[in-house]
Amino acid sequence: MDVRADFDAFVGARSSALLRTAYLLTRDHALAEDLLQTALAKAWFAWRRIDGEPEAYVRKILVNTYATWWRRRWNSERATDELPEPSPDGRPTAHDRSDTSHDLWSALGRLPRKQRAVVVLRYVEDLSEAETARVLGCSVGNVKSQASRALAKLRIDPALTTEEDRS
Amino acid sequence: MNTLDDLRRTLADHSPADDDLAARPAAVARRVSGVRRRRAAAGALLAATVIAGGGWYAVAGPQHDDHPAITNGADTDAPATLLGHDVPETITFGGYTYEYVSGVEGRVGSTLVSTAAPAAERPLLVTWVTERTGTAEVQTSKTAFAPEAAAPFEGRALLDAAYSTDDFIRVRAHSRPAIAIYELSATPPPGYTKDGITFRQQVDGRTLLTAGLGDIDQRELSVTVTLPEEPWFAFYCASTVPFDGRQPSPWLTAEVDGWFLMGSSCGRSDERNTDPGGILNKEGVDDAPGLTVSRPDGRGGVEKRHLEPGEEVTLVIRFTDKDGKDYPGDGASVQLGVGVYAGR
Repeated sequence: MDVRADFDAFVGARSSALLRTAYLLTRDHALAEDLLQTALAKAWFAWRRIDGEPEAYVRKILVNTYATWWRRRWNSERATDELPEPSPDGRPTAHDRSDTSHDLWSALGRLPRKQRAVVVLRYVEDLSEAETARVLGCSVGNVKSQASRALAKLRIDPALTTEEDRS
Repeated sequence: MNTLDDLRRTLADHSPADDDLAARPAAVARRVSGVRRRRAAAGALLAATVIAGGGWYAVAGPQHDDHPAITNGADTDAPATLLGHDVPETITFGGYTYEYVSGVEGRVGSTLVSTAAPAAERPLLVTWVTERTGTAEVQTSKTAFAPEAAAPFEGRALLDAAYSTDDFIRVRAHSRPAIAIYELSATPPPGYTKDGITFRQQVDGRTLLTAGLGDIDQRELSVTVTLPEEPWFAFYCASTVPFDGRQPSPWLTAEVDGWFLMGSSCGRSDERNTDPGGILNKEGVDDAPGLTVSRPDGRGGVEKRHLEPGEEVTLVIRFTDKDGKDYPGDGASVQLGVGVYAGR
């Protein structure tokens, strides 16, 4: 298979998953597509040099591009620490699950971008802390602290996380 | 309190449908081609990467794709139409010509259109059209412009910083927008051009009579001109004198036939004003036609001299301190220029 065909096959097979990552980061369909295409175009220029699994490579480009936009003060979003008050009832019931989902989605949108990236990589992509750190170009300790803060802001009960999540 | 399951479920519930999957390879190809074209246009000498199976993504060699990156909207031929409106091939802004680079329409029903910035070497001009009359707002990775209501392709957002394909340009509006991006023409406007600095032939109805731009580190420059009834002056002075508080402020001092006309502080950065005629000075012009200059009278006062229209005079500009004395030291680089215009 030549390089172009290989690249096209990758785009066809894996770009939907990458679009999900992009959308969860940007929360905007148009910008997610923009981010994904930017990452794919960047990846193309290095395609023949990629050693190993290209999806991880492209995901790293995607997340780093997202971070670059963030550093350039992307104007469409502003993080805030002000989150909705938690329900006094503790754990959600099936009856209010949709409200919970809505609140969580809204709260995710208010997370600082790096914390949001950590949440997406850890709990959607199921990357380990070490893998997340490699993608974000930071230390494992930083991933831990960012995840901890993000979960606190999302009012995720640490007692309900797994041992690995709390490690 | 929520659980991690709630979080994972929420994220899964918000995973988007991928309606653009089929079109994505072609969209990425256009973006790659756009990057390639821009690199080539910028004179980047990239090593040829010849890819087996064809030149679709080749980074060197003949360029076939004139369209840079298009992102979330429909790619358009250039120049053609956007939302049914003819796209101007060129736009004149501030006396300069900008040439069409790319255009993209927002999706049906969307009030946002976004595209990667072309990797331009020269300033970009963004204009737009919207489906319905209303305000539109240009935002980029570096700048946000105030909302503006304008007729199709009449709104202007000038991007004079360096942009790359990592930057985005987008327009938000109250109805479906389309964006058109232009780049400053490599051909300077009529006038006097040297080293990328242009004294335009016409500025706000005033006509250039003469101009000169010195070489780098040439600390004195003169031009000869026949005085018009109402002369206007454009000065150019770029220096590398640092703001360290140890060196005197760099100035440009202008004299006419040995008489003082005016003094002006010099720029002190790498950024050059490529359009000195954009700021015209009317020093030495009062109610009477011609020019009035001055010099110390030796008694603590000032002696004035009036020069009549039609007189041929020599205008000298020098690199000085703020007192008009030759600038001390030779550690700083400088370039001086002057243009003389006629008109009201």
